[in-house]
Amino acid sequence: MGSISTRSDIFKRQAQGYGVVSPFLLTGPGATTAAAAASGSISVKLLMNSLGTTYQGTLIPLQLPAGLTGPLRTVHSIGGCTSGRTVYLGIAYKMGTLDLTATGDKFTADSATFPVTRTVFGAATTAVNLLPVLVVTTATTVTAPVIILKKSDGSAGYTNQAGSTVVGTRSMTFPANATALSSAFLLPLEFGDSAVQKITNIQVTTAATAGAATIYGVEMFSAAFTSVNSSPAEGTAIDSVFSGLAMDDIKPAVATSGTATTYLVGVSLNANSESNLPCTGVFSTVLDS
Amino acid sequence: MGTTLRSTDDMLNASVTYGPENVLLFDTVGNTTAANTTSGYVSGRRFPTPYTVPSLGAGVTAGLYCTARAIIRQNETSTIVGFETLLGTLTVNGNSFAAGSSMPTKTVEGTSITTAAICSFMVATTALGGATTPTVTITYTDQDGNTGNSAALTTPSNPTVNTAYTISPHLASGDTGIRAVTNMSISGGTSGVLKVYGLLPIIVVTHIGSQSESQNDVISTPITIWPAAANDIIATYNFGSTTGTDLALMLYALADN
Repeated sequence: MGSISTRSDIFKRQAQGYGVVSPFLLTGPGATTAAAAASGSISVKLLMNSLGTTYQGTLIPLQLPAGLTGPLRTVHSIGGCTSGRTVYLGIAYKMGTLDLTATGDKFTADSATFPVTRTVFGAATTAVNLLPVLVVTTATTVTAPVIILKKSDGSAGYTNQAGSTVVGTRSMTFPANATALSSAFLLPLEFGDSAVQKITNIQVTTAATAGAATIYGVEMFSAAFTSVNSSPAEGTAIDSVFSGLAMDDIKPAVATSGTATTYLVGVSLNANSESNLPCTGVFSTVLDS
Repeated sequence: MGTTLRSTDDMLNASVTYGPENVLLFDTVGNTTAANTTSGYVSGRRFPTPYTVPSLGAGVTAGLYCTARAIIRQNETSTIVGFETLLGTLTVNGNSFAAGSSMPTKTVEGTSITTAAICSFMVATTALGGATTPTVTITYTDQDGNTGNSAALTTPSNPTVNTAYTISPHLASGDTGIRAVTNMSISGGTSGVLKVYGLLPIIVVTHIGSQSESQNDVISTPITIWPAAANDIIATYNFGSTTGTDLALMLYALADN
């Protein structure tokens, strides 16, 4: 058990210098290709730390001091955008890459072994359930790829939220022959499944002439903000202490083996592919011992 | 620690008995220099005219800055207002360091605490000259009282006046706070002054729209209500833009007894 057991402890720990209060300016990749019904209907944007207004080719996540031990728990966040949206704080774990230029089993898993785990309800090394997100890293050309979460020999494609291996039956068709760079979509899970703990295989059943993607598992936290698309637009504050009672540990969960590549990001789930608008704010955390 | 924060009635009584403080401040900052991955990641600037907490009357032990409102004419930026401590000064010409103060001791939730800044910034209070992507090394005492740790920031060339760089991403591994700065040095440059400030946040706000204002009610937000002493400094930092802008800041404080 850590050193925080009361609200008073939170403020004392922060006063002593244990925590992070940091401004952020998030940006997304600009105009992308919207999801269609056959590609999950929900467009996803992983918002990264902005340097200027350009989405950095080398992704830059929200920054934290290095080498912290102990949970880093959310206390408060405030943020806003000039577009109506909700942005969640989350961690994107790189699960692997996908070659879209040929049919077959084209998923290459990351060197880290999934699932990633953290303590949940007192149980250590509990597998974390992740939102499976595909991000286009090379725009597709000529043909809209079709993928399915299984291996071509019929074996499983992912491990679901219950820890069971699943052979996918639902395919995903990219929304356009030319699906733009950085377009992102939710991978199609079987009905009844809500998340993945691990992805093992992805079969490309229709290939594009060009195209590639990175597959992320996204852990979403309660800390978020919602912008109201009004005039003037407004931001919001999220209280994890007094009203939320959801002080997430935003340090990454631990891979079963190896070290996962992780990004602390803003996650925006929109119904369309609107041109990206920056999101600004400040988040406050306390370092538990 | 007094009685003002015990209850809503105590707060009302303090307001009526001692009189609250209402402060309206105007300030302006010009264009500043952007941050990069080696200098804080988020562009920032410090408004150059901070506020000094006035003397406290008889029976008053501290000022409690409970509510604040900030208007900034810069879309998509965020602001942190806080009690500021000058931790150290580096005069570039001659690479000369002068120590400032340590972070103050404050009573928080009834406990006397040696504070450490989890918000700390390096500010060009005089624009740098002759400094080509300089590396500034800041040696500090960390949140545990350990001495000799260092943070290194490499900034763009010749940061302009009032440019502020966030230090926390560059602290030594395992550190989150700074109690004191014991040395600063720069790799090159012929003129300018850099200062390291530690901030105890009072409010955090965002600004959306061309003339946006935000209000932060500290009572209902999980931010520490610091007891302010006479002559404490309240400074304002804005993040997310390098374009000059104006600030109107309103502070509302109750007296603690």
